Amino acid sequence: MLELVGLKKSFGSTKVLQDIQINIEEGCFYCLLGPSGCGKTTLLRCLAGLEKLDSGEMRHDGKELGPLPSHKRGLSLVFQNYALWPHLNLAENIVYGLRVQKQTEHQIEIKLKQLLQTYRLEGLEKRFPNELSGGQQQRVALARAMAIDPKIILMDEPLSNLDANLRKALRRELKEFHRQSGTTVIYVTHDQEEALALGDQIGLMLNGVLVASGKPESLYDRPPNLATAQFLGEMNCLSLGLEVEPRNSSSQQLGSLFTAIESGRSLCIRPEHLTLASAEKDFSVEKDFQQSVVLKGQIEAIEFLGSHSTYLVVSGAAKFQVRLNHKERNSQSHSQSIYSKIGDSVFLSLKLDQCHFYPEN
Amino acid sequence: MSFLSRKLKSQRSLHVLQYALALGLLTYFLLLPAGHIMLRAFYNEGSFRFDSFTNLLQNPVLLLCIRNSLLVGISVTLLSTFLALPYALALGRFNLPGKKALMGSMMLPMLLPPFVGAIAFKQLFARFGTVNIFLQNLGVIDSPIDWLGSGFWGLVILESIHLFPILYFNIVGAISQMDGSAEEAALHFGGRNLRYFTKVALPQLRPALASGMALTFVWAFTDLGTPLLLEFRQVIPYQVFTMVTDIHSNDMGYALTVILCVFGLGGFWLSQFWSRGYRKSLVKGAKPPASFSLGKLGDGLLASGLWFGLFLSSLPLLCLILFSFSDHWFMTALPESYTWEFFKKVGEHRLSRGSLQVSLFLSGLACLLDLVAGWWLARLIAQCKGFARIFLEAIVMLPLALPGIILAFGYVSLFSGSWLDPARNPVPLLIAGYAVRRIPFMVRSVLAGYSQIPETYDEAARCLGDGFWGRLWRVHLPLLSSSLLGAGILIFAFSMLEVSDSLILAMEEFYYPVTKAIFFLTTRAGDGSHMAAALGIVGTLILAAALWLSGRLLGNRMGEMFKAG
Repeated sequence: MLELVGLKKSFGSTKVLQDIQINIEEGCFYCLLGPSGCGKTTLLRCLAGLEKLDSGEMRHDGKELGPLPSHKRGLSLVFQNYALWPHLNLAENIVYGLRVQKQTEHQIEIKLKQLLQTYRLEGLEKRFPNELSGGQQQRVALARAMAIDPKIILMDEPLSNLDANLRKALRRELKEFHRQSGTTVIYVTHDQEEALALGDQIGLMLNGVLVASGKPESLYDRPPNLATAQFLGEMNCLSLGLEVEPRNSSSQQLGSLFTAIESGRSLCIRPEHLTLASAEKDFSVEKDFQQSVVLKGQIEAIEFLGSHSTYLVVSGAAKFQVRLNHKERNSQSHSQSIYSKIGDSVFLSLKLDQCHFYPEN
Repeated sequence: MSFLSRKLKSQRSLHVLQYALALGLLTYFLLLPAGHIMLRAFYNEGSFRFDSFTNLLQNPVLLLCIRNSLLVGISVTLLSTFLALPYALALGRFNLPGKKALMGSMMLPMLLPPFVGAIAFKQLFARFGTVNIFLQNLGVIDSPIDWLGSGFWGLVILESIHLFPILYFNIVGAISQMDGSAEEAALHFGGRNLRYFTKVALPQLRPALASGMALTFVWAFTDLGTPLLLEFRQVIPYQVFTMVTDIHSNDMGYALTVILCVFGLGGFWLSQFWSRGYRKSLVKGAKPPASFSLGKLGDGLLASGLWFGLFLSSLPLLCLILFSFSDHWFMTALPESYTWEFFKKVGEHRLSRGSLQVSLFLSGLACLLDLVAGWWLARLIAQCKGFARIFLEAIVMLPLALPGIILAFGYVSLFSGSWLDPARNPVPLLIAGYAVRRIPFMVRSVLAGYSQIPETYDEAARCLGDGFWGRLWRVHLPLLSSSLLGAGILIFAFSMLEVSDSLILAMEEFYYPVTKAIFFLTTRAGDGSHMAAALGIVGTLILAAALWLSGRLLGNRMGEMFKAG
């Protein structure tokens, strides 16, 4: 297990890491997610031994990593730009670490053969990095990192420079690599989709603070705090004092809704958990209608996004994003006309069990 | 204290130690000699005095020298700019036929060091030289014209021919980095022709122009070799050269050197002042401006004009080649017969052969020294921050602004009577002088090389367990090889043809480098000039090969070498 305890790091007066605490199980694919400048790469570099921590402890299987130089930590780093040496060919890049370890030529040859096979790079040994595709370069970087048998692989946004299609393909390859090798991976990314798709666990970092850590599904479905709710996926958040236009008769439900908002807490609900209808009566067919709050609103903008559309609906001073997939949009149970025009009046239904309430700060 | 923090602390101490060592060496071989001259100029016999300057200002000959030197510097700068601008604008902005060949040939005028060119120039423009006889044969003139006169214009033309390619490379480099969209925007808003040139183009070219002009001015203002060979004696460098012999009894040399230094540094300051604020406006990676065409005929005519200009600029070189092969060339436009004899003599004669050996040895060692020291200093500069970085970089780049003659004069003045006395053995100081003068080239080249190597290459090797020397050998050096070799070759060639240090420091024939041997041979009656020409051609060939090789290795980065700031 890798334990990071109370990690702190500042550059001048800027606090880049603030009391980071993470435990990562053996064999876990851990994604460190966060926007640019949140400190995730610094954390990775501290782990790799390329930056010095101001304070805190990093332990792997009980062994303190801090005093050890980079190469004695049992870690391998895959860089954002792969950092393949342009003057060395593919084979020389891969076996670099083995040569530094002064392994025999025979050992190096065996290991190289095995790595070339594992990473489907046979026949490309003599090629130089500039003669390789993006995917091949990534595999070489992985092979180079794996050559020295690291216990943990650190990856610094290795897919960020690639186009969308290649990124998706390589994402699957990475997942497969992890499944086969079983190595612990710490993967830094700013791409939520990538983190959700790859991670067994996700750590969300904002402004140098680890705001949440957990399984992707649980972080998405039940964000532990407002920051996570707002960062991870789309979320409608109603803050204190907003006035909405309630329409349905359940005063109890309305009461609880407004109490939540007015007591200094935020109400958050995902766009896909909102329902839209042209008439209030359309909601009555829904089985848990009694657990919903219905608001009246007006369509302010419509975005067609291929597999789904996003509607921006204004209700009083509040604005809601509503996501409807095409099946839902074309559903016969709802009147088609309400989805076609900006300025149309609509009704919104919020299911209370899908609402999250957080303290505002 | 943890292992890592102990290690970091020891690394910091090592860094401070290295910084101190670098400053110490640069002070000993650069600042101290220059500072010693300043001190001697103002402080003598235990008190601060200005006698030498008041004496200087009362001496009409020396005042004339100052005036002449300034006139030479300014004239060469203006003429070089006048020559370089049309070439840079034409080759940078027009689609001309044979453009690549033209651009490649722009090095030609640089190949001939002006002091070697002076031999050919005298043959061309002497009273009974090629030009007069050619014009007389054509019936254009009846009696020979005294083209050379005092030697002033010969000096200006020779130096301008040699130096205008430096300005050209500066300007053409800036044109290629100009922001094409700025021009499109200017045209879009109605700014055309002169207004566009003065308001949009010129400000973008100004840093390159200023830097090239500063280099040209300082070079021309402090050149010793060419006035010496053209026998134009009323310039400061010539006077300083003659005063080396009584350096300890005559303070005038110090005062003149101070004036050289003040005007040299002043030239650089002026160039920096003129281009202030414009450096940042250059957009990196911007789309270059579109090329123009004057139509087939216009393009053809323009290209022909440029070729003709290049031919004229290369005349001294062609003449020198003819002169080195000429068996008999007197009172005729061209040689009457040709021979290899002088090249053979260059290989056999004690002085010329010895000077080649000495120069190869000295330049080779200076080059090696610069390879190691340049890499070390570049790394040190890259690792430093803030004032420490600015300070070290400024000192390392100082030789660009500090004329060679000042350094050489300072060496003689400071080290006479010491273990480094050049009168006893000038080899250590010659090597140091050559190396110090060219160290900015190496540092710039290495810094430019490092700027193109992502830090992650080093970090990747570190993560895989490679130590400092392993990373240096397996990662840094292979990736820097073209920068190191390119600059190294250039340094070697420039050191081979170094004038000031060689003329001043090598006092015995045994230690004469090539340039001093050429000067010495020209003073010898008989075949001396022919041998000097042949030796000059050998030097030119070495420089040509070096420039070609460096150009191949450094590519676009070569332009960086010839920038002042």
